[in-house]
Amino acid sequence: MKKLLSLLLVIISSLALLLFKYYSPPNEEQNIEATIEAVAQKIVSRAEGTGESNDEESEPKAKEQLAPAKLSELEGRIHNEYGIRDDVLRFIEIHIPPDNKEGLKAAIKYAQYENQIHYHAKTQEEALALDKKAWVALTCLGMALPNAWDEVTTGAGKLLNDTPERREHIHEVDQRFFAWKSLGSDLTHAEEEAKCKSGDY
Amino acid sequence: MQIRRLLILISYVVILFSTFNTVLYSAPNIFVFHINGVNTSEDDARGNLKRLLDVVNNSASNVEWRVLYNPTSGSLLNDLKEVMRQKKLENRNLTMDDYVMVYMKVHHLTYPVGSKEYAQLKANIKSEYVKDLGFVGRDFATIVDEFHDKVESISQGLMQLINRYGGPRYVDVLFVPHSQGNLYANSLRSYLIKAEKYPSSNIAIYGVANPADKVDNTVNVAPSLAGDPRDKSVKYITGDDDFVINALNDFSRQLPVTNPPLPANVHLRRCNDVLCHSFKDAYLFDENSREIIAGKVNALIKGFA
Repeated sequence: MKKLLSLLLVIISSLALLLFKYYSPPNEEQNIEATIEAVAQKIVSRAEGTGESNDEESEPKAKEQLAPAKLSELEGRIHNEYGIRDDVLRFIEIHIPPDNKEGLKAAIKYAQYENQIHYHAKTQEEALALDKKAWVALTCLGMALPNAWDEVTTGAGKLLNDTPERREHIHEVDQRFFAWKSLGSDLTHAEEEAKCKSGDY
Repeated sequence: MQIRRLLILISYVVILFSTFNTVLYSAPNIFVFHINGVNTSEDDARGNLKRLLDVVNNSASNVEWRVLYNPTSGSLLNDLKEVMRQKKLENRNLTMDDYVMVYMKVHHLTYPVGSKEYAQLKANIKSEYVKDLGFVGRDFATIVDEFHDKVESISQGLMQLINRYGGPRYVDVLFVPHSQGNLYANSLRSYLIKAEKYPSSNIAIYGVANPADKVDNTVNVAPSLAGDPRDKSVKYITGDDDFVINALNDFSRQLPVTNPPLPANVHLRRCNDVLCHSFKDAYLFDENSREIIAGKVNALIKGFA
């Protein structure tokens, strides 16, 4: 009887130990993280309109700069005198009437600076200098196409971000060169307009 | 002869006055910073500011419009989680050591933690340590550095110039943050005022799609006043149909340790994005909110002048 009781005690103790090991009440931090996850998923699902999110769940990976060959592949097909992707140039030419010379020039310049920032800038200084020019080009585009500049830049932007690899690369460049930078043309609006009128941008 | 002398004197005065005016007013003395929200590329942030400029229609030469680029993680999900973690810490205090570290970074000091110099500095700046500084997000010291690069040098240059002719004056700064940018704008403003003694009357915030529990401003925003965004004291605009802010409200209801965002104060009838949260495609797309934003930003700029 005594033996049986001892055995029972051992079994109960083992079970208690197992329970203690594998069950601990969820702590507050876990609850908060679970709520964060659920709310974030809800928003992402809505954004994607799928009901289920396929957004990247893991923490962002450390990005490496791409090899020249890979960079060239991502930059895409460029067979024109402006040094911008052929499909981006086509998009610009379709969306801006040919008689709007200023609009065409500004859109092409804007696309050039974007391309140079993302595929040719070697240093932050270089990228920031190109960014200043892009701001002026955007002002010029706005002057030439006051009601359609957004359509052109958004459409061209979608083309430039048309694959996950390109999106990832552009994001990496934005992070590397522009994170928490104060960005602008460093010019007053009047100075920007003067540059647009003279074509010197 | 007398008349000739008088004319020469008048000419000198006119030339001097116009030179003074050119020097004084060719430099901007108001900076408007747009701080973007989550999941925004630099190109998108540029488009946001351009659209804001179109809407505000203020081309005064003493105002410079800039983006303070809030980088994103590259994943909407991760960005949103970060916002909620910021919300979780929103009402927590910065530790004294955090404060000393930021202070050293800004003042280019490199005392090792625990050293005699560190302890001395900590004791000296204790009075400056502000308990309600609130949460400062990742890279806060970097943001402060960047901010200094642009604003402080211009501010000092302008102050030297103005000091020759009158009293000292700081450049004015208006933050127009969107979404997560509001959390950073609040922290940045608090830091500049409390740690750097930047005058509070020279810094304002007008928040768009505001997830924060407050808008740090010279005029406090009481929830009871939040009903009408046209009210002069209300320094933010949030749509009652903004899916992201509504989800953050749910989040705060589920977790009482967090403070809910300030109440919505506008209805966005027209949105060009599914979340009705985008700066450009929701808040600057809906006619009513667009007018409110333009009016408020212009009023704040005029308020500085």
